[in-house]
Amino acid sequence: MRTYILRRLVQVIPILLLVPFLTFFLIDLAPGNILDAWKLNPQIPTEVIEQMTVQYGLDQPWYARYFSWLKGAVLHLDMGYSVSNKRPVAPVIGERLFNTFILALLATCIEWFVAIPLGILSATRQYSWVDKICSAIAFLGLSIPAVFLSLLALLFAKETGWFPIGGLRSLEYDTFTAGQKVLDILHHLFLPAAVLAASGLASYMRQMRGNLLDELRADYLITARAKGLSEPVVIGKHAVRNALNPLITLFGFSLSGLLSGSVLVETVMSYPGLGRTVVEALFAQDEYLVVASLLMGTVLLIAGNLIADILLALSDPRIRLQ
Amino acid sequence: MLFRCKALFGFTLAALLGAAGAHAAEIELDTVKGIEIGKPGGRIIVAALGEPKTFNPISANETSSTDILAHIYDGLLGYNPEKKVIEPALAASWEHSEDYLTWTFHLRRGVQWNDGAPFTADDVIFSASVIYDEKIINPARSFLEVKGERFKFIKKDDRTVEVRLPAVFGPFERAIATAVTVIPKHKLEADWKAGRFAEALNIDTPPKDVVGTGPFMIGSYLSGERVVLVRNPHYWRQDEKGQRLPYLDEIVFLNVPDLDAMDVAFEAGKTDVHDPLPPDKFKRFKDGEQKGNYTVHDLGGDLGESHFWFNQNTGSNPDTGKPYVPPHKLAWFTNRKFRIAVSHCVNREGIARNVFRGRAQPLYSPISPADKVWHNPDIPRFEYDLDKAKALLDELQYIDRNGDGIREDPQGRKIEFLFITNRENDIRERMGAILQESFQQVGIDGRMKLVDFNTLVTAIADSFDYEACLLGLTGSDNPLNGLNVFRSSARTHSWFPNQKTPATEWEAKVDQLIEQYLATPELPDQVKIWHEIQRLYGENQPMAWLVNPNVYVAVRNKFGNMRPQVIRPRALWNREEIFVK
Repeated sequence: MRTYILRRLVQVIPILLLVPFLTFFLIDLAPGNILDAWKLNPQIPTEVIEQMTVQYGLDQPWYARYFSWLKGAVLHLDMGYSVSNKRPVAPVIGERLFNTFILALLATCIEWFVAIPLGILSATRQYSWVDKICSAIAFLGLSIPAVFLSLLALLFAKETGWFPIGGLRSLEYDTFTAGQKVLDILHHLFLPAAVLAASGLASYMRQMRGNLLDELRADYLITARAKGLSEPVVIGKHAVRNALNPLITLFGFSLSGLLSGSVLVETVMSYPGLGRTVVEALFAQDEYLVVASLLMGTVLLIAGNLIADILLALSDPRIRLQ
Repeated sequence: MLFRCKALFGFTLAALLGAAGAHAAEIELDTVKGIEIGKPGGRIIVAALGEPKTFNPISANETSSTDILAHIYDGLLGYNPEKKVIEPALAASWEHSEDYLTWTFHLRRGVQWNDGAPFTADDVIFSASVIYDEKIINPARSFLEVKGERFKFIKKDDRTVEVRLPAVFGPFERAIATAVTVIPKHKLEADWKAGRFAEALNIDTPPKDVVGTGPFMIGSYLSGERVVLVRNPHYWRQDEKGQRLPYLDEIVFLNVPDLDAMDVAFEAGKTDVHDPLPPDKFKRFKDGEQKGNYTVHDLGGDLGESHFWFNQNTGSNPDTGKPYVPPHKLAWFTNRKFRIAVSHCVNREGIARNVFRGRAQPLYSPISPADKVWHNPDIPRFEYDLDKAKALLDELQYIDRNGDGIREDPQGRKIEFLFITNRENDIRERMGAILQESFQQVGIDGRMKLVDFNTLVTAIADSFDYEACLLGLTGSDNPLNGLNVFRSSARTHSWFPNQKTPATEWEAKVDQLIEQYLATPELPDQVKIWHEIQRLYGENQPMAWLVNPNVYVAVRNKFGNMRPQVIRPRALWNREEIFVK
């Protein structure tokens, strides 16, 4: 197992070198650069633009910027400077990362803790009214685009006043006790997390139902029942455990999706997450910020797959990692 | 009698306060006259589209930062957008020598930084040194030069600063008001000397270390959520009753990702100020006034404008040697009559009616009529008149020779061109469609091409590979800020930037007039020069100005002394006077 993990980690290195290389190349292909908005502003003197061009290496070819970035990143763990934010990339990402992380965490919790029980329920009671309602909800969740759902949620919050519109903390946050603070954050998080969870929830539920139905027809369950095991043990210990395998793989992929998937929801619902920062950076061609966020996405994708593989090996003794 | 009692009471109170703290009594307060007397307390919540990028007023060059920093730092002089005059700020008074070469500023006595440290002439000298430091990128430096030479800032004593100029600089006071923001020497000098100025004051700086003399200071900053400004108890203004300003305890800038989110936040009652309120949303917000308990303020025409121009760059691409504009097209574009014909094609009233629902005015001048001080109302107007346009084109011998509905020049080449505009801007796209229609009607094949913003900037600022362009610029209420447009050598001299020597006689004349303006000390004479510059622009129509949209701001009714102005920060320019009723 340990050699397996080590080998996987070594394989990561070329990917981590290649992703920034391609990013620098692709951004350079797009017309213009980060100073465009300033160039059109008559109130910014030309000297300032020239000075910035030189200071940020924009007068050099893209590969020169790549290599100087690489040197800083490897030797000093310096991820570069975000021109549009006027400071190094690391704190720009850092302060937003936590917000996106708790949003994604809550959304994932909603997805899994709701989807799996419901999936089991609808599989064991196939074609009952419970199953039908769950299916209806699942199809709705899958077919409504996240943007539309966000807008609906926004309208709901605005009309009822039950939920705050945007943000993560109330204006009075600083005067709250610790308990109130947690509640306040959860209050703000609920709608964005629910919207973010909607489509994932639906697909996991359907996956769980389908997988479990396959397992329920398997011969080993007849054996288990014939041995006289109780129904909860038959389903819970034998069938569900086998049905979970494909979902674990899905979980690995979802880890990287957490970063990118929240962009839309964050923008529409004014949530102070990382997604918005990254989109703004893309439009502004803020190279180093884009590179850093793509790198993070890559790391999450690789880590997610690795974790999924390990979890798979733990949950299914038939799988051996070598 | 009652009045007298009050006055007496006020006096006793002042005496008591004076006894309490010796240095507090010494402060030379500026009394704001003619405002409604308010009461302290409360907060105002403003939606902000972008985030502040820095708390450093010297290196801030985006409105998302400067809109906030304007309340934290003061200049030596201030500008009152309502009365349109230069006002005393940290300098309580100032005078100049007869030859306008030496200016003496008498600093306000007893002013304290918001951390309690005294403000002195050293802070002013320090600020000037930082602005003049070549290593520090800042937009202010270029305002503080005349004929390429710097001013000399000299400390006479703790409360007197003398500025010596190498030559007469007409807009000197305005330049000082615009460019000299005073920063605290006691906080920043060590870092500046160590070459760490940029890191010493930025968005990560703890709020208590962001030290200014303005009416507010940073209370807290949450990235992506909000910036909260809190009252600076040391501020140097008072009302006529002797209450220290500002009245408000807090200004909250609530971050919103886009204009739609801003609408929702205001309609849900989360914000108190909705700015900007685009003309096409006017009705929606006007209808909600009663229910939302707010007022939509009409601020008149905007200072910004939209315009259409042809690429008149006579240069060629240094790599390929190909001219930026094909010579035969350049001949059309540089022909004044052709440009006037095109200007006659601009259906300004139609654009105002259809795109802005009547909430915009036709525009004929490079300086918006909203700029009442500098605008020249008498410049030539080439109004929408397709017959005149046709007559002019006929006169140029641009006639449809083959019956396809499109005119050809005497050499038989079709009069066709593409004009670019950026696709993210719906309003511009609709203006372009109206232009395109008029062009067709007079037999010119002028077609709109939508491009991404960055592509557009590359085309007009770097590669010059385009034929015509439709774009808007944000304006300012002072031509000093616009020199980068009007000078032929300027970067944003849109139709032919960075000219080594003026390409035409009239542009040479404009350059001369600008030099003359810079050397003219008195405002009425400066205005005369700018009227002449506008006349030259009008006559030659280097660009066709389209319309001047109105600006609206919606503000809740609970605030007193709310008198929004068209210049940023529209509703908050008199933030120290605003109070909750």
